[in-house]
Amino acid sequence: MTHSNPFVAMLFRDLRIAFRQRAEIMLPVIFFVVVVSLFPLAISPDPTVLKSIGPGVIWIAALLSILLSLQSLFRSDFNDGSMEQILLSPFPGSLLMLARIIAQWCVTGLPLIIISPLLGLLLHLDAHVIWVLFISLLLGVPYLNMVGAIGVALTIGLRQAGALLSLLVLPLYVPVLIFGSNAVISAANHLPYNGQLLWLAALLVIATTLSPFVISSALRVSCSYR
Amino acid sequence: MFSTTVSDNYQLRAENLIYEINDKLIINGISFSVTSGEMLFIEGSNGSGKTTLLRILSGLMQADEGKITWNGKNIEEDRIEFNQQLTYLGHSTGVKAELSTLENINFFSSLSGLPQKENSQSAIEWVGLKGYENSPGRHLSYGQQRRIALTRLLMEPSQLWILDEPFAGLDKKMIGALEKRFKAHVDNGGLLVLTSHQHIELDQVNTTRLQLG
Repeated sequence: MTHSNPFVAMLFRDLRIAFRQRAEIMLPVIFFVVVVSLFPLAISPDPTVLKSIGPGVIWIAALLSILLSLQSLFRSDFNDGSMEQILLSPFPGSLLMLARIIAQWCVTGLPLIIISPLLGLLLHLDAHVIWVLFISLLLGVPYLNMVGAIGVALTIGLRQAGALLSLLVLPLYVPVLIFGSNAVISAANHLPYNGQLLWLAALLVIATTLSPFVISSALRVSCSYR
Repeated sequence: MFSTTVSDNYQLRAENLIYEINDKLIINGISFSVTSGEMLFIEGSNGSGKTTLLRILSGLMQADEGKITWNGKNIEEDRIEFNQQLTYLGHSTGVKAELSTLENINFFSSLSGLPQKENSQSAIEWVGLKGYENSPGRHLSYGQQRRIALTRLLMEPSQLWILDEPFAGLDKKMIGALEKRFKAHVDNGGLLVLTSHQHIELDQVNTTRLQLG
């Protein structure tokens, strides 16, 4: 199938590659499920305890699982030379990067969001709390993907990028973690949670509009120092 | 087959390029210009800075000093116009191991968003990969992966070809076909900048030789 639009071509290429490496795309979801299910074993199976730690646990696990999935982003393109071709395309680099993040979100973020209600049940969260958890992840996880991709773009040229990437990206993840888990905790305590969700939405809008430009410039810089 | 008009006159000009890594001068004050219908052949031993120079010319790297102009305009100023006219082939082929030959080729051709000169099927036939359309990149040899990258020369409607060791990993027959393609490109008013350890001589082609190192 040919796609004459570079944006669509990029999106489909990345999705096709991801679905051909099934083991790799399953890893973040499996990590997410395993980490969350360890908490009842390690702390207590008591529903009242799980109810109180549940929102934070799910949010932290989602954040770490996205961080884990970032390691492979852009790596193979950088090594096999496709990145050079992408950067030399006359099509705007920022739009190509947006396509890549959307593809990355589809294979890492989206499965986490879809499976999160089940994990909410595992941690004895109430139905309306699970609903808020779902919305908060829906708004927050794409932000994690985008900001993480900026970190990857900046560190891709380095040999030992893993630790530096976490140091660079984790501080930027903190606001989303706070608003995300706080929205869910407020819902559990029957307090208003719209404010936190609106903050998440605002952060998502900022990340969506700015991160493609930053990623494309950062990759340009990384590629020029090979 | 070729939609280019000979009347268009293009010029790539480099002025006083300087590039250093760790206080070592890799490129020391190089100037040249190439115009439509000309070939620039960059010679030099390993490590003399050929690849660095080509990466600077294509805009992937910035020189510490000096400037590169395309039709009189700095390439940094009008990247989109320059990229539309550029086909760059580096050391790495950009072939994805997970994608088939046809998928790789289709991706390359749609990446520019411009109409292609030839369709992917005739490009596959030209590089001799007929029968391998559906083989994933990881099952192909290095030479075959190079051939996939070379299809871009047929499909992209660009004027300026910047090629880093285009003959690496290719057999004699393919090298012959490629030389013919180079000549046709230059005769049609294209510009060709290349490095090679292999001696090449294109009949009646205005060739500038640049010795590095």
